[in-house]
Amino acid sequence: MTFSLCLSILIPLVLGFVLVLFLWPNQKPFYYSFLLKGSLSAGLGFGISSIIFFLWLLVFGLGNIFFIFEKALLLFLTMGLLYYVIKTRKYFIPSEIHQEKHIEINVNRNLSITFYILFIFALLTFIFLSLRNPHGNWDAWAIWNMRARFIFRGREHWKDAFTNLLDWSHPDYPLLIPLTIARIWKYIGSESCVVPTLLAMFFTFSTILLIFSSLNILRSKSQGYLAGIVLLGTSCLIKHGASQYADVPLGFFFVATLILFTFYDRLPIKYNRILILTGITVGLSAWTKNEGLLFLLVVVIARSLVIIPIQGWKNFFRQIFIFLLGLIPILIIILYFKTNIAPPNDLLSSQGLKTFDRLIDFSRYFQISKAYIIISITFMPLLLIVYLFIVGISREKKDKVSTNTSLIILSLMLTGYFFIFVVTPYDLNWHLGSALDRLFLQLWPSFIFYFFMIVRTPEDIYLKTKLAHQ
Amino acid sequence: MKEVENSDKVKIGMLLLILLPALVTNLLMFGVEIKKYRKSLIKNEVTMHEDRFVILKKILPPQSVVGYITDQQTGNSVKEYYAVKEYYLTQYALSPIIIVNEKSRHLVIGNFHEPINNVLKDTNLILFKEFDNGVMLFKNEKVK
Repeated sequence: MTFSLCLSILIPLVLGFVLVLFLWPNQKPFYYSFLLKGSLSAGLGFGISSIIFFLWLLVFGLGNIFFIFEKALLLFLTMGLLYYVIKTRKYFIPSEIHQEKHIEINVNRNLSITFYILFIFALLTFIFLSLRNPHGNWDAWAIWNMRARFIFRGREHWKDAFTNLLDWSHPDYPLLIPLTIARIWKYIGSESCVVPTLLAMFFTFSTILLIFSSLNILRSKSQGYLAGIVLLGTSCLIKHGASQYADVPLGFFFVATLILFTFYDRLPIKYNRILILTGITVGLSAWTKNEGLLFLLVVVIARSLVIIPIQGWKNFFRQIFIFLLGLIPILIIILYFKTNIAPPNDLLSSQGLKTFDRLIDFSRYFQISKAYIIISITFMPLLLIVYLFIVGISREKKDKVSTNTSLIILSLMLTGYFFIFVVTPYDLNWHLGSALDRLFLQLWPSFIFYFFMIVRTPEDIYLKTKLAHQ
Repeated sequence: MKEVENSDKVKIGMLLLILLPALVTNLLMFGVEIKKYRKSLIKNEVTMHEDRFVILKKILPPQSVVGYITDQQTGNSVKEYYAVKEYYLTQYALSPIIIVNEKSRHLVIGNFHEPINNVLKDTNLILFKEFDNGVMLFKNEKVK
């Protein structure tokens, strides 16, 4: 079982890593920015292997031959892409992406020690939480793991999972998580709780490492550590991660998208393959949860608002075209699932004349605003705001496009969620109480990334101090 | 001189506003989880619930749709919460068999915590098999 488990996880990880290598600006050694590429690969690999598994299920059903096919296909892809990467790599100068001011400051050592201590304790907390709740919490067993069981146990009747008789379990929700779990269960031949736990662990800690490693490259070492420390100190990220909720994987794809846009905008030579990768992360977010579809719309609007005034329509359409190359294949699969397999979405199908009444009921706006304020306080941004006032903002010209994109995406997502609550057919109090904290959690890693992209780095301040002394 | 003061401010800011809150939250969470883990039952509630349905699962026809009845749907909000939770957990345990929360099916699963007195009143359910821990299987002869 251990070998099968390792193999079933290794295949998507290798696939994801090779895909990232292939679409990433080539640099001298392949292990350059390894942590960043590695953290990106985890989500991409699991996402793409779930799509391959879905297509196989549609065409051939759940036979054992899939795994021989998958191993052969992935081995072939891996070898082919590795060959391509080695053969065609051009030498980009790392400083095109990297922040030039790479200076060592004495505070870095303390920050790194704190980061690693917190990382170990967060990992241990995650393990203890998972030992206590190996099936995850409510949504995990009522939605994601249950759907995985239907696929794994149902064999040729796997589509029974999407019956209207189980409308309480949201059968229209996308399949990245259930298919990934069912795929690994099929590999190991049993329904081990270790599988959803490991998947949740990969997404939770990949999110932290992705932000840590990208800020390390884009801003400075200490900035990466600080962002990582804030995330490791966000109790609900670890708790909801261990609960095996899909909000953490969704948050991973959200922040991966913002990070990829930042790398794209930072490069002086526009490296279009990053935009393909961005299209894939946006597509996979919509393959994880329905909120990903809103994210897709928001990303296109945000990019248009930022790119058109500065770079013109032509540039915008060129970027969107390349972005769609990554997005469209995944979007077609999502549309197929939504139109041919899944029942209608409960929130959308229950809209009607009453929607207008809800829209003009201003007490709802007040109630939602109040809940937004309360939940914002619990996410600890007040301390970060004070920190921002002490340290100040330092937004570099080359990051203006990407930070504006991030800010607009975050604002539009919050607005979008706000209006979902306005028109919800459910009891508003109940809906806010059961969903708002998780919606904020989806955006929290992206907010932290944005925050540390605009806040002055400790290195910057120490450098100026040093200059003042001289 | 002003910049020197700024660098000290940054150090204090980092310590008080980022490091300390993160450390406290992270370590507190770890401490609480260790305590909860030590106190927790040998089996978690989902596994315990699943264990109650192991034998029933073996005799139910695969890919069937069966009904569900419980004694917890009483109008009491706390009991209602647990009734919903147990219904969902039953579906989780018995998937891919589809469980619908109604009595108008040929086979109906009973999930009881107290002796059944009035629950079956006004129903056409006939006890078909009784398992341990309040799990029962009924037949509704009026529905084929």
